[in-house]
Amino acid sequence: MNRIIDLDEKNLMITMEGGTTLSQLLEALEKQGKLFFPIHPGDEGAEVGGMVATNAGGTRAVKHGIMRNHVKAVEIVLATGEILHLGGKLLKNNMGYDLMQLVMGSEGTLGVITEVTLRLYGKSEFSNTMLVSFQSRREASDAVPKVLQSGITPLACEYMDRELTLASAKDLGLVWPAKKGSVDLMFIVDGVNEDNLYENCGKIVDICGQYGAVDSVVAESAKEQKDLLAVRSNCYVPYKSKVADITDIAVPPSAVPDFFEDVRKIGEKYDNPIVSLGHIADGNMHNFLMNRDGKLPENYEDMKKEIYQTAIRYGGTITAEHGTGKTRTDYMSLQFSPKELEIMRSIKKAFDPNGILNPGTIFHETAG
Amino acid sequence: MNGLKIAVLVKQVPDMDTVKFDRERGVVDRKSAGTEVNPFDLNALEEAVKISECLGDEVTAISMGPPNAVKAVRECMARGASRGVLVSDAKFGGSDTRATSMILAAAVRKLGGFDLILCGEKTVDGDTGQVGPEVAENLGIPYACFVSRVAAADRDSIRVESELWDGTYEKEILFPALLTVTKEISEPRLPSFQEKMKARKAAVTTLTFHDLAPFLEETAVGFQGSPTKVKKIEIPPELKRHGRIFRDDAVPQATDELVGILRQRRILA
Repeated sequence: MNRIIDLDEKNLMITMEGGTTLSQLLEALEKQGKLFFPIHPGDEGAEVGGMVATNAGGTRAVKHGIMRNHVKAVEIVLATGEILHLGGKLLKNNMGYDLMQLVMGSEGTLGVITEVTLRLYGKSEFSNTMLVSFQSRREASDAVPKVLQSGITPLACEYMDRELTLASAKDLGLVWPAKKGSVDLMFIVDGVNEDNLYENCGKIVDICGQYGAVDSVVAESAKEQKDLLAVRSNCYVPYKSKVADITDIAVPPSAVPDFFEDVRKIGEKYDNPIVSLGHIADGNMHNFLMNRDGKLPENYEDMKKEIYQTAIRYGGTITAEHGTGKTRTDYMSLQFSPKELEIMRSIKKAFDPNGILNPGTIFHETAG
Repeated sequence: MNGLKIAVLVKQVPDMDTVKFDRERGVVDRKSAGTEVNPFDLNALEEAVKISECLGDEVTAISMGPPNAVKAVRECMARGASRGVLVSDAKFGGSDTRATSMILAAAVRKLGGFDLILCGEKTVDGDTGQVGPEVAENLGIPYACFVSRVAAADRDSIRVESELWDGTYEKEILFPALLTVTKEISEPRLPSFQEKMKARKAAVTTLTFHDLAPFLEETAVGFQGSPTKVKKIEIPPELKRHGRIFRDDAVPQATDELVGILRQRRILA
């Protein structure tokens, strides 16, 4: 089920079977030449049906949002075998309840997504990628809201501890070009023309300079930009055997500096050398909680829970992108009230009365 | 005492990842993609800047191309070249590697006084690797090609390692000299934002045929100065992996076949 069914250039939409990969989608759009799809969760082997089921995010959410913002129609097969066609090639639709929104991010618990229609956009011809380096996390995270307030919305705004990008670049046989400072912000910036692009970059650099930025580098060619993104996307790989868990919390963007400080204190409290990266402009940070002597630290559960509770205290969420899955079901009651959980359970029962779809995900128990 | 005067010869090439090839006509559709500085020339520029940081006076980026190649020159200025020169004239259009090297040699003579000239081992769109050595021959200066490392340099000479066939050759060359470099020689730096902005407004010297006339015959440039012509470009088909699967009951057969293939490819004796 990996066919692209229709690239509708007039409606700026593309319809494909659920098993179509992101790589196939990007290749089809490359051939077309003028349109692009903004969501890039990192791995181009991701299947579009899965991206809808997980409401995938990624580096470009700050400007373009998440999958939810771009899905216009889905075909879904229910537990009963019935097939629903939800949504359509529409930009506005207020009739009834929006079942398609429920299905997105439902992690396969409400139905199997077999066909997807996505909105497409005109390609921006002018873009580049900038690395701006700081000495401290605090300075970097204070600069970000000011950039957004200036009226510039970058295509991406990523935060990385230098330790992560150096290891990732080495793993890929590349060189990380930022040499000064100890943390980096990576901005992908676009503009309507080259002058506008560099005007936007200039504003970002000025603002970052006010918050103590120590250096900046610019990548303009497609290959150089791709290499920087590849290093960012690969950051997890060198740490695979050393990491106990990677959190996926999100807090309101304004709370990021204080949340960062709280995570640092939690790391000290539990004697864990937590390193971090994330989609900082979205308030979504991934903290790498490390193993100890190759094993889960004894205090791992307490440390994780304390990070979750800290995020919720800021009005945040336990998982911004990765989903509840099976590993976070225990924490549903930490984030949601009994009434919210009751309503969610009844939605699950309405879609899947016998609880056969991805049991144990989101909720431990099966319905029925 | 003045430092080394270094020139880097650069070419603006299509973005080879996105440019389209017309396989039937055997040509590159240059309008189908953006442009970039020839990647090997960026390696040359980086090495030139590194040498100049120790020994240098200035690095001059020189590019022969159409007017929009000024973008490539500015990119070099953003990455450390202190001066940029575009060699451009309608008369130069259609030049093959021989004519190009005559024009670049004339520009080097016009600008005068270079101790060291660097360029990439080849361009990614032409792939001939001829222009560097031809420029050196035109100038009557010694050169080394496929240089992967600069071992030492002072104000009179440079010692390099050159990758040729299966060997690495150490060569010491007196200045003035020319080197063509491989990707291994350096990791090109990205420009800082400030350097990029400065380069966008920097003055670039343009040399036309008229400026080079004392060093160049009109019959040596353009189509009339080009004894060679690219007849056709062939793009090799993409190599795909071929897999064979042998189940448990076919292990002896699989072993025989594998040994046979390895012998055929002279991996096993």
